Amino acid sequence: MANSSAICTSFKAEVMLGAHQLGSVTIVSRTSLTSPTTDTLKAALYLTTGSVGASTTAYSATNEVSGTNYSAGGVTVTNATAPTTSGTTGYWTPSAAIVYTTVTLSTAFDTVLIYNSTQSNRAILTFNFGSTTVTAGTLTLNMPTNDSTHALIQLA
Amino acid sequence: MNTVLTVAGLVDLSLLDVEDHIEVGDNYRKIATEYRLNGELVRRDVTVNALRGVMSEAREGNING
Repeated sequence: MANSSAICTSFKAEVMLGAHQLGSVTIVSRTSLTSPTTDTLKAALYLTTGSVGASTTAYSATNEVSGTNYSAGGVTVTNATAPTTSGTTGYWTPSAAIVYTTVTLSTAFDTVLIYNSTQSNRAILTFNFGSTTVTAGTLTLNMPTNDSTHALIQLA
Repeated sequence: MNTVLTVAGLVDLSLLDVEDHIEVGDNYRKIATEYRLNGELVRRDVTVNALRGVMSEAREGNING
């Protein structure tokens, strides 16, 4: 089984359960109703030998990359734009590129897992970008246009 | 003088062979920039442009099964 791009199935259910809060919203039955917060998301990289994808339920260090200047768990995702909708599609995209600076990742990797570090590291999405390595350089993952047909997450 | 941080330390850009490798996938475009010093790879930067994210399509069920 290889890595693949997918919205994690667990995330679809957890969204409906209110386990994730990618943008602040006033809701019922949360500890703070008057000052809701946004969860912290992180992005971890996985080796080509991994199997993260739709069945992934949470971040795991198994098959995560390792190397110079890469910290287990990855980097924090900039999330300044709340999820929104257009037509019948809800969508969301990180508001900035995901950047791993001056890393050496010598073993081939191909997938990033975005997960919710505030909510027990629950998985959100995996994105496969083909096998690659980095040597004393920077890996930049530029995000797609945040609209209903290009956004990183599209729930149609 | 332009220098580049590599596994061999700061190296004058003029001493390096620089090559871009472009790969296009279904939903991404990837550019790998390789710096070689005397044929040895001393730095490799990668930029992935995600062209389109992941769509999950909701399906309507039939309440009567």
